[in-house]
Amino acid sequence: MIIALKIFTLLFLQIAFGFLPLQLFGYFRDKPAWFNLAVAYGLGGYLITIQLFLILFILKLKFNFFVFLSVIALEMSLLLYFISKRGYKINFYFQWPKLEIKKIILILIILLQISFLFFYVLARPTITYDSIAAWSYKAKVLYHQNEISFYKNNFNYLGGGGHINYPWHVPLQQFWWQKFLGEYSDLYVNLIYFFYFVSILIILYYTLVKFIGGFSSLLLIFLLSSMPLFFYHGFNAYADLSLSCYVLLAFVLLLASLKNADNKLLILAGIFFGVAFFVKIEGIIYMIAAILSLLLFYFQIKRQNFFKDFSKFFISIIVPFLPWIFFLVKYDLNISNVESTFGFHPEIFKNLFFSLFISSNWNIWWYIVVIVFLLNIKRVYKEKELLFGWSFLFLSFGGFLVLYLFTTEYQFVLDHTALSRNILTLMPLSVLAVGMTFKKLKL
Amino acid sequence: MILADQPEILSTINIIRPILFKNISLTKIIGLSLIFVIVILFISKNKAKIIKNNFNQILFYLFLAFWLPLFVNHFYNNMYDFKENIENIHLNQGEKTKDRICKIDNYQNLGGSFCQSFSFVNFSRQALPENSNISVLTTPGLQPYFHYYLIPYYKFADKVGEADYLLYNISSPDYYFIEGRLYRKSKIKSEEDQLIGNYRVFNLLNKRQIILQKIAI
Repeated sequence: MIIALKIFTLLFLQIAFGFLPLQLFGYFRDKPAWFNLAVAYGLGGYLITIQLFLILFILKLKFNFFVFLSVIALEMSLLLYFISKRGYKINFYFQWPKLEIKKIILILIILLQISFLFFYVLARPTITYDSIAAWSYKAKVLYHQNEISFYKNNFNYLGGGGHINYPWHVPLQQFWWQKFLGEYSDLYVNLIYFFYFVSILIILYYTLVKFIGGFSSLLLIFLLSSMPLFFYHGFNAYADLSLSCYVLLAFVLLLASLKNADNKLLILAGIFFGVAFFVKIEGIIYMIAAILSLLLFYFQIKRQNFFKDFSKFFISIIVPFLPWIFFLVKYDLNISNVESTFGFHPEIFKNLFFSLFISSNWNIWWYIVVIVFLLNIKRVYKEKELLFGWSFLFLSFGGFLVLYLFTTEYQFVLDHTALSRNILTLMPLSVLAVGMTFKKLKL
Repeated sequence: MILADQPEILSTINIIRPILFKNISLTKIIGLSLIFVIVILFISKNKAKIIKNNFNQILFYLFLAFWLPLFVNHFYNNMYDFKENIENIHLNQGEKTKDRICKIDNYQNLGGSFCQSFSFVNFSRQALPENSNISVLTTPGLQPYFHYYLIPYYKFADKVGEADYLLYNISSPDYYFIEGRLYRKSKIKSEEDQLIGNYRVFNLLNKRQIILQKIAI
């Protein structure tokens, strides 16, 4: 009972910390509460981890729970003061789908999926090799030491584990949850990813509902929630689901900023792309894809003086991960895990094809994506919004393809260690692209 | 193996094995059938009528119909695991971890090495005094598990020779222990294997998993 209360408080704190800055954006003041809560969960998670990073890695201080909590409380108070001084009203309303039998059935099926996931969370502790070696080990070391070792001969130098060059969002978020709960648990840490899973479903639903209505959105959410590997990551502590959430969020906001010509939102979208890079190195591919898609969009609408907006977007991308880059440079660490030698590796295509169209990781989703794209190719070319959505998806996929095809990363495609995980991040984006293409669909 | 405890078959977070029907992937069969049906719709005489009556809507229903068989499999897996999850929910975390590790070992036919490593971790915790200076000599695939589960009870030596105790698994590819001496295998054929030091058997779980103690000379 006490642990449930602690989890609730922790969740409330993370969401509230993310929710308050969102109120500075007019876009979120008009949005339903569920959407804002899902976005706030992601933003709150980042705001906490980046401050932990600054304290532990840049200031090199020892972690003190109550001091850190006081800092967060102070920041939240300042945000509240700022919001009230500016006269912004905190809008908090729940928009429920209109209740029809078919919608109720779908909602129940999705809730059943989420319930299954919840029981996995409670019964299956973190044990996968990748989770432990890449992320959880660092969180556990930090949990017990409360500081980072900067002494080169220490076994846990710069956090320890196999990949000291990896971004720190995931270990720091795990560390923060464990500290708040007051015990190191391989079970409760799964909840972080459970909530990212739920957040993705909510963000997608409220984005799609404007394109295709409630029932069709629910159908697509149902499809996403029942893709085996996507579901599996909902209870296994790894980085790709968090990355998926931040990339989706960034893209949804980028889309909204272009639709509403809202420059503040463009900056926030850029920030989320930057956060993605602080979650996982692969985030860089989405950053580049976003920059190229935006340039393509500006070129398509023949926008004059786009340089100012584009500069703002570009700077906002860089800021969120700047402290981490500073750390990498200072300690002479590479971004990549493997020595980058260039070559040509067409042998990856077989595994890529297998992963997309033969393994059951995604059910028949990639068949659907290809069919929808090919059948609507003329529309995609003609409609700006669709072209933007699909070009971002293809550029992101193309980014991975270039990486696999021409660098030593190809080995991770051949041994299947990274391929499906990388594709996982494209899943919510592809659901969004397919949903946008089904525009005006009434079922 | 159409219906199985599928996601937990591999101890990796990277892939879930395809569902096979007589060695053919069901995803491929269903996916290709979907394409076939859509092509038939397109070349049918009523194509114009179908497209006029909202082709996308028909498409959506087709996707759902073809999605269903694999979803049923996914749902079955979840139901199967749900039963297990409910049964396990009252266990403590250590028991849940062991249960999950040993099941995966079983599904993957690892011969018990994954499962036994967790037993060796527990055995070491009982056998070794806390805060000892230790090092783990095992296969690279198991090493992170030892480090992870033995924090914060022991200090890990930066170099093997500096540790007072070694958790030694004879499958370790880089080291071997013979007549009270531990050697690091040379990576270059012409060079001799490097002597790390003299050790005695401090305790052993079985013939393969041994705790060695450094002998001061």
